[in-house]
Order: sequence, then structure tokens, then C-alpha cells
Amino acid sequence: MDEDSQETRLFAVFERHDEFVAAQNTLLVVDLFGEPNREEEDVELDCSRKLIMIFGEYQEQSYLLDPYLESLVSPVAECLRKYALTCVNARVTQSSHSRVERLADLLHNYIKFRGYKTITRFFPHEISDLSIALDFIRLPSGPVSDLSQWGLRYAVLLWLSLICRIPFDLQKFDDATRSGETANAIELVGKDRLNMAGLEREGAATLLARFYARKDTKQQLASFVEWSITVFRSSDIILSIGVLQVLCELVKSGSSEQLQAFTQKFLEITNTLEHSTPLVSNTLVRKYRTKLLSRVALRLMPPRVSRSKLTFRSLDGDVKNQTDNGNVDDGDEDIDVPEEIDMILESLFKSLQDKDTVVRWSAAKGIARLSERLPSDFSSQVLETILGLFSIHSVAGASVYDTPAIAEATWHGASLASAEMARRGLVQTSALGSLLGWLSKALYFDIRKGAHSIGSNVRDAAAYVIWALARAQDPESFSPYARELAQWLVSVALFDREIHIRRAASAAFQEHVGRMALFPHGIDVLRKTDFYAVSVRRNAFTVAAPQVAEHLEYRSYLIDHIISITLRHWDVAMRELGAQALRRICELDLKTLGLECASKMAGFLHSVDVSDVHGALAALTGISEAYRVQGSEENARNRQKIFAFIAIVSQDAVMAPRNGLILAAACDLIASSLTLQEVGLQEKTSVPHWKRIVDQGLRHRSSSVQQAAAAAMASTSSLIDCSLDSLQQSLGYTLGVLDYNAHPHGFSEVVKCLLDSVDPNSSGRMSSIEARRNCFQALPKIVANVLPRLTEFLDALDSGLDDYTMDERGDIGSWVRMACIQGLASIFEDLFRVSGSIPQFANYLPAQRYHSVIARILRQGVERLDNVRQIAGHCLLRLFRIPLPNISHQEEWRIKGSELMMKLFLNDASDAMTSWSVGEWLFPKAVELLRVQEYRQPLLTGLIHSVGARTGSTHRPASSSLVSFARGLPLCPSDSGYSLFELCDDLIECAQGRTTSNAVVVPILQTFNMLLEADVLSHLSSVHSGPSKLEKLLNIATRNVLRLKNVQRVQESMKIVVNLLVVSSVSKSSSERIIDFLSHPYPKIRTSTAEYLYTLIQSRDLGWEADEAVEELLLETEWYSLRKACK
Amino acid sequence: MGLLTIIRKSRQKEREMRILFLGLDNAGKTTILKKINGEDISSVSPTLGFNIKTFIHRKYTLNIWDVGGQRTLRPYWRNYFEQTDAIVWVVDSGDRMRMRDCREELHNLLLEDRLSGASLLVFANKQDIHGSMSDLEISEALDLPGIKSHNWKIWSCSAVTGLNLIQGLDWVVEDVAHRLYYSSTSFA
Repeated sequence: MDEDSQETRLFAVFERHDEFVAAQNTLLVVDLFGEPNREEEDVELDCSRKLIMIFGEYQEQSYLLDPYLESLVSPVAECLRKYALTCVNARVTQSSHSRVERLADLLHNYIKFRGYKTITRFFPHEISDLSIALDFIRLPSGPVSDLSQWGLRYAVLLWLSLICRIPFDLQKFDDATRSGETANAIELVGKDRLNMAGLEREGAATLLARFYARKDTKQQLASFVEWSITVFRSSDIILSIGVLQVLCELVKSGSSEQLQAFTQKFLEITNTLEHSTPLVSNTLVRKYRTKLLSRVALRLMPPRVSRSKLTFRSLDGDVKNQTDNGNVDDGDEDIDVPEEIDMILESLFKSLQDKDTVVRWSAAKGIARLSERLPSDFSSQVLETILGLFSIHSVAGASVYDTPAIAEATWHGASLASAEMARRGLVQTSALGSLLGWLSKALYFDIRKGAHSIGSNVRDAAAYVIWALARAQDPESFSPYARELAQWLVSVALFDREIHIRRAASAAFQEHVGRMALFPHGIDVLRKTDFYAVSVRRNAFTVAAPQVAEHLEYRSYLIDHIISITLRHWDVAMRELGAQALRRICELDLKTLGLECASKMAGFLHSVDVSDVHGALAALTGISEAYRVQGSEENARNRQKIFAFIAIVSQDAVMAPRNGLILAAACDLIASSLTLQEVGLQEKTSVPHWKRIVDQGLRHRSSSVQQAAAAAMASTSSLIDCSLDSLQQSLGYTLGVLDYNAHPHGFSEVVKCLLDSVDPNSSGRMSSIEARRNCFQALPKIVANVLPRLTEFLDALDSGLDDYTMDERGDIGSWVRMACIQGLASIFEDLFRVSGSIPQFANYLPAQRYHSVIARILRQGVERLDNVRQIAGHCLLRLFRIPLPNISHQEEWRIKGSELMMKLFLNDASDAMTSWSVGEWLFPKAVELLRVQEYRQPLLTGLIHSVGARTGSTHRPASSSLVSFARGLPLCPSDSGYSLFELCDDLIECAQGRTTSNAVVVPILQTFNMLLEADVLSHLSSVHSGPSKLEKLLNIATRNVLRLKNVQRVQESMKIVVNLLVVSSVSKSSSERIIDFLSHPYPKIRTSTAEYLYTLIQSRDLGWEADEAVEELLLETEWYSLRKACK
Repeated sequence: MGLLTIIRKSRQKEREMRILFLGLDNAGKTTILKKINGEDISSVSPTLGFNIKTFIHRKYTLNIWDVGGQRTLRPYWRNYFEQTDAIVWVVDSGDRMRMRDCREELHNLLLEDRLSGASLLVFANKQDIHGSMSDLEISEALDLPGIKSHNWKIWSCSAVTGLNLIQGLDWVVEDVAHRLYYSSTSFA
């Protein structure tokens, strides 16, 4: 269940009943013998899907449908009956496969939804139905025998299983001459399908179990049991599973006098199975074997009035004595326990340690159910044996961590069995101590196995035991253990790696608080660690844990847990969070806890285990950070002490090339614990090699290590002047954070170096994209401190907007572009803010320059990548909001068309920040900005880029917005705004400069085609110089067509030419060029030209009547194979 | 199948119901429970936090959460497993002064998501005290007829004499059973 419990809606009633019935009726009224036409097929499929969807919605609360089930299922079952009857009577074998399948599927979904036992009840079961169902399923080459109709077979088998419970002698159905015919037929139907791999096997097993449970089939049962033994000997796995399913069901529901005779046989069977290697290696075989064993045992031990220790008071007088029986019971403790029980239990204990969970589960339930019927001293022996399992793999004195991996199965099984025992009140107070002792270990069971660990199931089961104990035990017996138990549960609820374990522990805690009221501060702690508080790991570690630690009863236990388990965890994320949690807890009482924890952590720095060292370093960093935040001289001394611990870690460990994790952690620790005093010690420092560590970090190839090292550098440089030797990638990080105000002498070199690294024309340009990104990120950081040389920065960042580098990772240039957009925006912000104090502001940032950058960011804001658009949009809105520079002529720096933008983007404040990534939202607004002349050209370039995008979510809204924008434009230019004519002109302008670039021309052609198809451009020829524009377009589309290699471009060109046929002024010249496409060397082009042309002639008014012969020619010609000129 | 699944399934399998006892402080929630449980009711002190009690009633297991009346205790019925099946709202019939408070609290409560669909039993407690309001008066004062989102019923009762306690519980159990365990109520 986990998260979904919150997400799936909880219902109070079956709200969609009417809708459901309507859909179901649609499926029930159809003629199963007639094939649906296409439309009907679609409608029926839709209904079918809808029903399944509703089932899904209510699956978790399926009981809500119970009041309606009869009225819902009966018609469906009746429909099946009628269908079967018609098939049988008319001996028809022809019917609609898909409709029958849907009917069966509906039944199958009901069964899946509510279980076959509930659903089968609603099947018809008149006497006459027996022969219908039986004949139907045996119909030679009937629908049931169709291989894919498994659902139908399953339903009919279940139906038969219901009918064959009729209280009449089956012989009454036989022909006088052939007695036993009907019974044999039913048995055969079942047996024949017992070896099917699908659901049918389950149906067949149910049928057979019901069949053999009849009074008149004694004979058959005996021979079935005999037969089953031969099956198991043959080692046919699937058939064996089927037979076992029959036996399990039979032993559960058959009458006891019938079964008594077979007890020995059944035990023999389980024995045979155990020794058959091929069978016993199958999980299901083992599961059903376990089931069979425990059910046979339950048959041997008659049920007794429950002597459960559950002392729930019953409110009804007549059931009341149930609870009082506990005392009376002692009298009849001398119940006979058959000797087979011992043997069965032994076998179940073995299954309890099975390698598969389902088998362990089955064994655990079997053992507990059986124990419930055993005398109490016997059942305490059972519990003792279960507890004994825990010790099998435990070497005395060793921690859970040293347990071998196979112990997982044993511990899980033992925990499950204990839980099932506890739930039934079978844990005696005397056994509680040792049970809890084992549970305290099981709660932390976590065995590392390579890059993952196993054991979360054991932890969960341990929580289950404790939860169950809370419900069954009385507070007095618990009180000696309460305090420890509370500590264990809380530490698991807070610090387990898995969400479901944290929640399970929290649930167990809550159950104890509510029922026992023994836990210290139980209610307070529960509030801090409830189901929701522990859901998010970060919250559990950094918020809930320090809150719980406010209670002294829990504090030291939590600290110990973090130090000994969490900080040594195999998962890095756990260690890092653990360090944060420890810091927060220490902050509650830093004076005492800080150094105490720190010195404990120092102990782990000797370890050869990388995780230990890393965890310890991370924890020390946290504590030192806590000291730093609090300030004071004493704390500085403490930090110095912590700093000294770095020396403990062996240099080999830190410097080893693969130990980036430790190196980064060491750098972090240096960053947080380095003090001026320490630096002042020069050579006498307690960690003489700390500078080398930082150096090594800067050189490391992983960026997280570089970042940590850069942080260390930053904290060093805030203390002292340091000279640089740093390289490539980390360069950006380092240079960005250095404190130049304090040490200005190296600044111009730094800037030169950065600029050089990103200048496309420089030989010093860095080839690594990450390095360039880092450099770009460093630039604005430096600007925040230093204003001069501004224009150089701006130029560099601006040119970064043209970085469209591609490699196998895709458009990686976008990283640079995003860094530059953000950089530019923050530079502008800073600049405007301090504008008042900058003399000659206009020299640094001329208004024109400003607007050209805005236009280029705008272009990024309408391009293909969602995340780039998002960032550009965000930055634009930021710029839009900042006050104008505080200088004369400030209006010149106002963003153009600001009223329009305000209307478009700032109207709905709530989503204005988030929606630029959503094409549907953005593009209709963005195209409006084309009205702003200053930004038009770059914006148009960006829009064309998006129109040409292959991403549907960008392409579609971009194109449709552009078309509807174009449609709304006036035809001719006027003084006030944009016009269609100008738009075309701009588009053609864009294309003409770069006719060789497909990336530019194809989207433009696409754009024109859209406009033409939408019939926006047809009036253009009536405008002055309109025709010449269209000629130009035609020219772009047709020039060198035969030499073009790019199919997409040829296609788009072809469409332009065909579309222009409609436009009167160019229709003649375009019709002459169509030949080029109809006779193109590529068959695909020829075909699609013909198709496109045909559609156009059919659908559009050409101004002249197309010759029918032309249409025919277009249709009939084999464009794919022929290559000839026509028309 | 982890603990959380087991907990959820156990409701169906073991026919468990989760019932919340709520109401303003000093309404008599704990006293009612003690009376039902046959415990001594002379020494009841205000509930700080909550208690879970389990009863067998009819063939159902009732897990009753008795939650203290203070608003700060709300988090305790934000439970780890499932929604609540029934609310028993206990009213001090003699406390005319706070009837308005009581109404507001009740109606706010019913807006909670996790209580959607839960059956609502209102106990007009302390009927043994002279001059207390009748169930009809209380029904009006709490605007019970205005509640459409939940099945509700009011019973006048007395925790001291035991009047109507079992009858009220009968109603609420029946109502929940009909929703959760329809098949067993109608077939058994």
C-alpha cells in the first residue's frame, strides 16, 4: 500500500453505479453471434475499458459494491447461460470472437475484483444448467476450445463448480444405458484442464474439489488420490500444481468422514513431494505442499472453543463466556495430540525457512492456526522452537551485521510465525522477554549484499510482531520492556531507510501508546513520528528526530543509533542524512553533545571501510557547522579540535583516486572547520597536508568533489589570501567563489582566464561543455562583487546564447544557454539596482544593447526545449518587474511593448511564473509579441524553430498559435501595427539568407504551408507587391529541388508548390513546377505529391474545374514504381 | 505483504471496525466506555491523548478510539491505516452554554476527508441529570437534520445508569456493517 493509501481516493458509496450499469448493458444487449461493425466495435471496446477502469477505482474498497453485486453479476451470468444454451441447441460454433471475449472478460474482472467465491454465487444453478454448461464446454471446436478464450473457459469451469453441488444424484442425468456418464464427463472436463498453465487450471481445480466433495463420488475420489500419486511421480510440474490445488481445497472444505481415510495418503504425498527434486524446486509446489500439510494437521486437531488470551470484552451476553474460557480450559489440557502432528510441525518449521516468501507465509499461518488448537504447554513449545530459529545463524556475541545472508529467510519466517502466534494471543508472558530480545535485533536486520541490502522484510515482520503484541498482551506483562521497546520503535520509525518500514514502526508505536500507555511521553512522541511525519525520509531525519530527541529518554538512544548504524549504512544518502540528523540533535545541547559525539566519530576514522570513514567525516562536518553557526571563541577552539581529527584518516584513503567520496567529505570538513588560528600555525598545523587535500579535490574529475573543494577554497580565501593553481572544470567553481574584494590583485587575470575559456575564437577555449558551463556560472558570481569590465561579460554571456552544441546527449548547448540567460538576468538586476551610483551608466549598458539582449532571451523563451523556455520566461518576468535604472532618460530602458506583456503574462499572477514550459499556455500569448517591432526578428526565429520541432507538445501549439495570429492580422501594412504582408516578408527574409540550411528553411516552409492550408495567404496576391513575395516563396521552394537530399525539405517544398496552385497570381508558375515533384527520383515524393495534389483538387476551389481525367490519372498511376512525366 | 497491508486487510477479514469517540471535553466519552466495559466509573479523570479499547460486539471487533476533547488532540485520529468507520459524538446534555460550540465543532469535523462516509451516532449523555436537554432539543441545537453527508442518529443516554448505551452502539455497528460487510450481513 505505501504511498497510494493517501493518493487513491476513499469512497463511501459506489458512486458510479448508474454509469457502470449503462456501460454493462451496452455490452449485454449485443448479438454475440453477429460480428460488430467498426463503429460498434469501438463503442463496445470503450464500454469494456470504462468498466475495467471503474473496477480499478474501487478495487481497494471492493466491499462497497456488495449491495449491488447480485443485480450486477446476475444479468452477465444469465447472458453467458443464454449464449451457451443457443450454442448447445443449435450446435453453432460461429460467433463473434471479440464480443464473447468481452463478455468473458467482464466476468473475469468481476472475479478479479471481488474473488471467485463471492462472484460464483451469482451464477445460475438450475438443474437444467448442468447439461447446458457441460455440453457447452465439451462442444467440439466450440468457442470454449478456442485457445485465446481462456477467460470464457475459466468462467464456465467456475460455473460448473457451482452447479455440480446440486443435491441430486448425478446418475439421474445419465442415459439409462450409460450409468455414471455425467459424473465421468464432469471429472474429465476438470482433469483435462488441470494441466493448463493459465487461470483455467484454478477453475478446473475448484471444479474438481467441489466434485469430489460430493457424497456420490467416493469412488472417484479414491482413484483421484491414487492418480495424484502417479502424477507427482511423473514430475509434471503444472499438473502437479493443479492436483495440489484440488487437494488443498478439498481438505479445507470436504467433510471429515470422507477425508479421514486419506490422512495417511496425504502425508505420504507431502513426503513424496519433498523428495522429488524437480517438483520441490518449484515455489508453488512448495507453497501448496505446506498448505496441504497444515490443513491436514488442522483436520487432525479438532477445533476447540478458543482459549485465546485476547481479553476483549464482549458486549453480547451469549458470546461472553468465550473470554472466560481461559480458566476453564486448564482442565482439559490432556487432549490427545496425534503423533502425526509432531512430524507435520517439524516439516512446517522447515518451510518456515524456505527461500520464498509465499511458502514462509503459508507455514507461519499454518503453525499459528495449529497452535491455537494445541494444549497450551504444547503451543509454548512451538513458540520456543520458533524462537530457536533465530539463533541458528547467530554466532554468539556477533552483531546482526555479521549474520550470513541466508539468515534472512529464517529470520523472516520466524518473525512471521511469532507475529501470527502473537496475534492469536499465544505468546505467554514468560516467553515475552526472549521474544522481544530477538525482535530488538530483527528490527534492525539489514545485511549488505553488494550495492544493495536485504532484510527489509524481516524489519517489517518484526514491526508486525510488536503491533500484534500490543493488541493481545496486557500492559502489566509489558511494563518491564516498555522503555526499551519505545526506543527501538522510535529509532526505526525515524531512521529506517524504507518508507514502509518507518510507517510500520510508527503504526506499532501508535498501537502501543493507545493500548498500553506505557511509553515515556508516548503521546508527544507519537505526534512527532506519526504516519505522515515519517513518510518523507528527510523530514523524519532532520525534523522529527530532533523533536523526539528533546525528550531525554530517547536522546542518547537515538544518538547511538545514528552513530552505530545510520552513519555506517551502505547507502551514501543515509549517511549524509544521518550526519544532518546528528547535527540537529547535538544542537539541542551542543556543549555536552558536540565533542562527545565528535570523539566517538573520530573512532571510525581509522576504519578501513570507506562508508565508515565517510559517515564519520560527514558527521564531524555537521557538528563543526553547528559550532560555526553558534559562533563564540570556545566553539572556534572546538572546531579546531575537530579539524585535527582529519589527520587520523590515512592519507592513502583520502588521496586514492577512487575515494572521491572521502575526499569530498574531507574537503567539506575542512571548509567547515578551518579556523584562522589553524591557518596561522602554518607548518605546525595539526593537519599538515590539508592544502594538498583541497588541491587534490580541485583536480578530481567528479564535479561534486570539485564543488566541495571549491567550498574549502572559499572558506580558506575568506581567511587568507591564496594563490591559485586550479584546472579546467573546477576552475569555474573556484574562480566564482573567491573573495576578490579582499584580494584584488589577481582579479584581472582571473577574468581574462574565464573569458578566454569561453571565447569561441580563442585557442584557450575549453573543450569540455561542463567546464564552459561552470565558467559561465562563475561570471555572474564575480559580477556580483565587481562591476567594471562589465561589457566584456555581457558580450561573453550574450554570445553564449548562440551555443547550440549537439552530441549524443542531445542539445547540450542548452546548458550553456540556460546559464547565460540566468547570468544576464542577474547582471541586469544588479546593474539596475546600483545604477544610481554608476557614472555614465549608458556606457556600460547602452539601451540598444539592453533591448537586443532582451530580444535574444525572448527568442530562447519560445524555442523548443521546455526547460530553456521556463528559465527564459522566469528571467524575463524578473527583468520586467525590476525598477528602471535610476538615471536620466530612464524610459529608454523600459522593456518595449511592456503594456502588452503585462496583459499577456502578468494577468494571472498565480501561474505566470510556471507556465512558460507549457506550450499550450505560452505560444498563443507569445505570438502576440510579434507586434513589438524591436523584438520581432529574434522572436520569429525562435518561433520558427519551435514550429520545426519534432516534439509534439511544442510543435502543435506553436504552429496553431502562429496560424491563428496570422489570420487575425490585417492584410496590408499600416502605421500602427504588424500585418500579414510584413510577416510573410520577414519569414521570406529569414529563409533567403540561409537557403542552404535545412534547419532554417524547413520550419519556414512548414510555417508557410500551415498558413496556406489554413487559407490565410490567398488574398496576399491582391496586395501591392504581394505577388512578387509569393514568387519569391515559390522560388525558395523550387530552386535546386532535384539536388536536395533532405526528404523532409523536398516534401515541404512540394506542399508549397501545390498549395500555391490555389493562389491565383502564382498558380500558373506553380503548376509548371509540379512536374518536378511528380517525376522526382524519390518514389516517396512522387506518391505523396500525387496524394497531396489529389486532396487539394478534391477539397479546394481552384477557380477552374479540374479535369476528371487528371483526378483519375492521379489515382490510378502506380507512383511508386513508375517514373514518368504526366499532365 | 507488509504490516500496513496486513492491517488494512484485517479490517475485512476479522470484521474490525474503527470507531472514534469524540466530543467536547467533559462530555463523558471515557465514562461511557468504562460503563460499557463494566469498569468503575467513579474515578474518571480528563483524557489527555487517547486510549484504544477493543470490544467484541455481535460478531464484530470494535476498535474504539477514545480521544480527549481538546482540539490539540486532533492529530491522534489522523491514523496510520484507514478511514474511520463511525464517529460517536458525545454531548453533555446539561451544558446549554456550550451547545453552540458543540455544533460548530461537530460540523467542522464532518468536513474532514478521512471521515467521509462514516456513520455518526450522537449520544445525548447525562440524561440522568435533572433539567438536561432532550434528544429532540439537542438535535435541533446541533442542526443534525442539516447533515446530509453522513448517516446519523441521536440517542439520549446516561453513562451513569447505562441507559441506551448498548442500543446506541447496536445502531452504529449495524449501520457500519451494512456498508462494510454487506455480504455477511445479508447472507449470514
